Amino acid sequence: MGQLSSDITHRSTECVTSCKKPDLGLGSGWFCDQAAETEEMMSELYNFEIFYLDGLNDWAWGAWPEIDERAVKYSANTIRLGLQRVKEICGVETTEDQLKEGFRYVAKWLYGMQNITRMMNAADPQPISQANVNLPYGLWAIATEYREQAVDGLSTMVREIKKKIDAGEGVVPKGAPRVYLALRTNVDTTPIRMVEELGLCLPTVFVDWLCPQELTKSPYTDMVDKIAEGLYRRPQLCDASAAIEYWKAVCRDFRIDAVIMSYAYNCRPWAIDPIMAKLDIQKEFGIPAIVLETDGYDTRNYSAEQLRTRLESFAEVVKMDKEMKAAARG
Amino acid sequence: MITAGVDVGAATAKTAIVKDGEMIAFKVMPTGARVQESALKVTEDALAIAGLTMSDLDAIISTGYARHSVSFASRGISEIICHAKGVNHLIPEARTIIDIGGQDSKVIGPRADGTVADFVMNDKCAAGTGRFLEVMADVLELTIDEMGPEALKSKNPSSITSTCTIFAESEMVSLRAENTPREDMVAGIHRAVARRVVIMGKTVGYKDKIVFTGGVAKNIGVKYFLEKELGMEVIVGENPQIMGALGAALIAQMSPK
Repeated sequence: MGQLSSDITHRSTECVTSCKKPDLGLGSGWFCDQAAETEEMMSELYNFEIFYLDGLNDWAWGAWPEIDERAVKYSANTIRLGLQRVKEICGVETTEDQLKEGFRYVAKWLYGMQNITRMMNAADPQPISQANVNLPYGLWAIATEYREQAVDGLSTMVREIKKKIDAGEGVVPKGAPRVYLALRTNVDTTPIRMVEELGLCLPTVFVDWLCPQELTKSPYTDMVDKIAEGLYRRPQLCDASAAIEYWKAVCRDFRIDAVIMSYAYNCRPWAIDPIMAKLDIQKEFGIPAIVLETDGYDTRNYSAEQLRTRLESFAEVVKMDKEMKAAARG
Repeated sequence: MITAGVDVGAATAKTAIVKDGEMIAFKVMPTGARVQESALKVTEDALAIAGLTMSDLDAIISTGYARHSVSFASRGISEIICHAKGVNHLIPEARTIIDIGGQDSKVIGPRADGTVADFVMNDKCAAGTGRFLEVMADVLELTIDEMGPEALKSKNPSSITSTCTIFAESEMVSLRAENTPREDMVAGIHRAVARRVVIMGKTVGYKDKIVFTGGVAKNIGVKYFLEKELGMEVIVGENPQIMGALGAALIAQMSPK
């Protein structure tokens, strides 16, 4: 979430400095300090109100995928209060139909992204760079405009990936070790490119994949409750145990040979889970794992050469591990 | 077969010459401002010690942070891989390597064959590295070579809460103002470095035998506090700073030009 909050910071600053001053800001106070603090700073500087959407991270260890109704209702109510504030300040009412329409768009986007994720998982060699998957990844945030174009864009990308798979084209060698990278850098794709340039295949990245527990039918009928419950279906938005279960499921379902966990030190929830996950994954799957401190937004915030040293060493470890396991199998 | 391993680190450039699997010469010199020139000079000097010239070499592999700047090397390999190989050659029983260099520190878990099973490396800043000790030596008016022996004189190491170079320097100013004996401040600095590295390496784990490499391994104060923090023996080889260069030269033995 750290890199997302960095992006949000950047986008918030860009938005306020290059566009008309907003009447109201809707900010997240849930996962990271950074986004909320940025909103507060913008509010102070440009004198507009911020409404903070909130959630609950204090789940019982191992409770997920059971979703606590208390958490859903709490988050749903902060969304309702936010929408109420939008109505009071901006005079814009959000109807149930509009929420349904937004929900339908997100569902279409998710369907397209899952198509891409499935194709990337099945293909050998990896047909396109995960850095290019960043392009449709950002489309989930489209609020009202260009939704049809976004869905068309996703369909085009799916067709293009299929063409590359049919032609046997790839960005890494066929049979390359399959690595899970727990980082999707929305702006700066350097870490993703570095991994692929080292000849490692990235079948999936970050939290692109929706695990089976996320695809069950919601028990809620009210749209706002549904949205809140949908958030908690994402394991990373609940607690460390859920995030670790997700990463283990990725290792199984994507036949992962090695794991690159990543944490951003400006994101407290995302800084703890990866270190626990590394040890768990090494123990359960016997595969190489590393934890990197990165900033997904900007290479100026970390030493690219230090990152390269770690990744080069890790790539050598991973390739050697795969060779040794193949030799042991005869 | 004669090969060279060239390790261009943040503080020093090192070259090891290996003939038929055994090291026959090595040279260490400051990296300085011109990385390529230093790499060439240190290699020529090492070759001269062995009575050889560049044309006698069958392969050259570079390592260290500036490995990609060594134009005369056939290949660059990361120092983590090279350190493991070099240590394994001299101390095959090593299962943990603590390497503290000029600007980074690493804990490596090597396998019995010298390949790397796991590793961790410090992030971003020079805290807990050789550079940190150099800055602190300057603040306390000691040479870097005097730091270790000075630390061992202490009966009551100061509590240094930070290994951030900037914050630790501020702490030194406060401790000096309180007339804290110098050896206690120096011991506190060494203990802080050891603690930081020991904590960092916990995700890799510490298995016997533990070998300490890199330029900082020559500092007996850091070795002492590493052993104290770990409760385990820490071995320092004869030339701990050349393990990366030696490993590179040994890997080059397997891949001639």
